[in-house]
Amino acid sequence: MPCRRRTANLEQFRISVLLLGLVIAFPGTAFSHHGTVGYDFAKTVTLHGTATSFDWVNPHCLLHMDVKDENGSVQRWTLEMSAPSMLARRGWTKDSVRPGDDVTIETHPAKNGIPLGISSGNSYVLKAVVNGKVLPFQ
Amino acid sequence: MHQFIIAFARWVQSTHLGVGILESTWAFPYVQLTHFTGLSLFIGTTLALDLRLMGVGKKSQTAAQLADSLFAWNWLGFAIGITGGFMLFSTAALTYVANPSFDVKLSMLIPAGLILHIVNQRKVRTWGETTETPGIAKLAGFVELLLWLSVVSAAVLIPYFAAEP
Repeated sequence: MPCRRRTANLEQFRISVLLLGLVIAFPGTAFSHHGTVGYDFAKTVTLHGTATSFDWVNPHCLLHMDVKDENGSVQRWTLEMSAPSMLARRGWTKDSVRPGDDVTIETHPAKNGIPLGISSGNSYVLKAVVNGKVLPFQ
Repeated sequence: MHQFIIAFARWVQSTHLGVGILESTWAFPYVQLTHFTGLSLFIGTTLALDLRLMGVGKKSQTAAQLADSLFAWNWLGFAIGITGGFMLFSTAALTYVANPSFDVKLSMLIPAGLILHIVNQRKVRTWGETTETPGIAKLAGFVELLLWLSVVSAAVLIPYFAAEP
């Protein structure tokens, strides 16, 4: 009788360990963010154009601007920036860029070539000049 | 139905709640905290019961006893989680309803996840009377565990299925 109980317990134990292993194997909980792996941080491009909107929103502020390239055609760029709290800490406000403003801004562009870039993270803000005035950066 | 969902999302996104949290300098992390704390409490206690239904920890107490002690925490967690979740939803409702991962998450949660959860909580009173739970209880616990892990997986994948900004 003691042997049978031990076998039953061992069976249970094995199944429990297997299931626990499956539970632990879900690393998804660590990745609650889309990440920055799609941007090319080795490259910094400077864009010059006109702002169409500056979204002062969580979790990322977004700067949309129209950029004219060498051929004269206009590209609508979207620049991802850090959260309002982080930009505010650096001295930016929701009115730092307004629609129609002349903007020259640095960005790390997306690796796949679409008009998307990242211009600030938690530890940096790339240089932006709005209507001739340099916004806080580091 | 689809038009209704879009219209509802558009309305929710335009409320003071939605806009306020979206543009707030300080509130967003606390809203996230509310959602994550609530869901951790809910999922944690739910998985503890599911594992017990499958036989894990049967030496310490019956499944019925465990279910009883976890009941209040479980539904408190759900209430907090859904409050935080709705607040997050309100900041960008239209993007969420257009997100396939969010769609999968909610469709597994309601009705499947909730219904199986409620069924298990009721049935555990009979299933969990003895130390050893019946085979059907083990299966029900296992299926529920898989269901909730799928809900959580779909949830954490939401940012990866968002449309480009």
